[in-house]
Amino acid sequence: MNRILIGTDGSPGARAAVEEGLDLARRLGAAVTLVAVRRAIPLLGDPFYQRRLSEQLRNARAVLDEAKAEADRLGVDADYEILEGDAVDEILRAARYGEVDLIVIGSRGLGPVAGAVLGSVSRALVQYSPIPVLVVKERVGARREAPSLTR
Amino acid sequence: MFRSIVWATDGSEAADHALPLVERLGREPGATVTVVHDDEHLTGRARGHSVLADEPELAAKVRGQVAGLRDGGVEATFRLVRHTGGDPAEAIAEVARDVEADVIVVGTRGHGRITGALLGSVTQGLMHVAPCPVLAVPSTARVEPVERHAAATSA
Repeated sequence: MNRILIGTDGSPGARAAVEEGLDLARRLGAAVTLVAVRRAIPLLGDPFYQRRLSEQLRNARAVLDEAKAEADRLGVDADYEILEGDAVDEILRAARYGEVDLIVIGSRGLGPVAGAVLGSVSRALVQYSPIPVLVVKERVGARREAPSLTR
Repeated sequence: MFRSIVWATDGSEAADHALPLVERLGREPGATVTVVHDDEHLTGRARGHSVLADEPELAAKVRGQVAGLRDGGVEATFRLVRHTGGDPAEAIAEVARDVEADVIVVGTRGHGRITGALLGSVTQGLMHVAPCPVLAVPSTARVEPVERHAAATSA
């Protein structure tokens, strides 16, 4: 187990995944790639596009910075990537190119908005991933509100 | 990390793919492995095999794998879950709650549409009812095997 990919979006499930994934990496001596996937923005016209884009990037960075800080605190070697597109496709692509051995993901993520499509990302990853996937449930007793990539 | 590890297996080859990883995790200091074999798991969908004809053989194979894990220095116990009807995922989750599992490991066929059929459905079910994280290991996964693994599975 050399590299673990942790998908995160700042949702409570994703936070649990970050926590679990980093702990696992620390114990196994694996490096970590933190990945946030932002949705493609439909063409809205320039100023709106720019505004949405910088908002998405700001949120993604905030989420990843927090996870990266936690990794540093634990002494886990971590890098991060912000990807654009379909979460499942992008995570699988990143896993393939990054020579990842394990994907860690929250059981349901994508922030409060996407709560309706319960766990669709984790479910699809389990179905299509050629490498092991660890699906982590959010802890009971929610954490504090975090920026979401899907808002 | 994972102190209490549950490996849910139906004795199939797909399930076996998780074994190297189970062994790897089970070798961590302080870790225990509970191998759960659920025979209801196979009802009517064991790739054409009859449950009754195969079950003793499968259970024996899983017992052999448990012995292999023990030989490898893993603290492993065997749990046979027998039940008629009901949800296999629920039965596995029950054991997981009982042993206060930190993770449930399941082998899946991985990659492909058939996944939905057999282990896939149990895995998907587990993601809902499990009291802990679920580690799905597809048949395509390459985990560096531990030396005695080959001996353990061919038994």
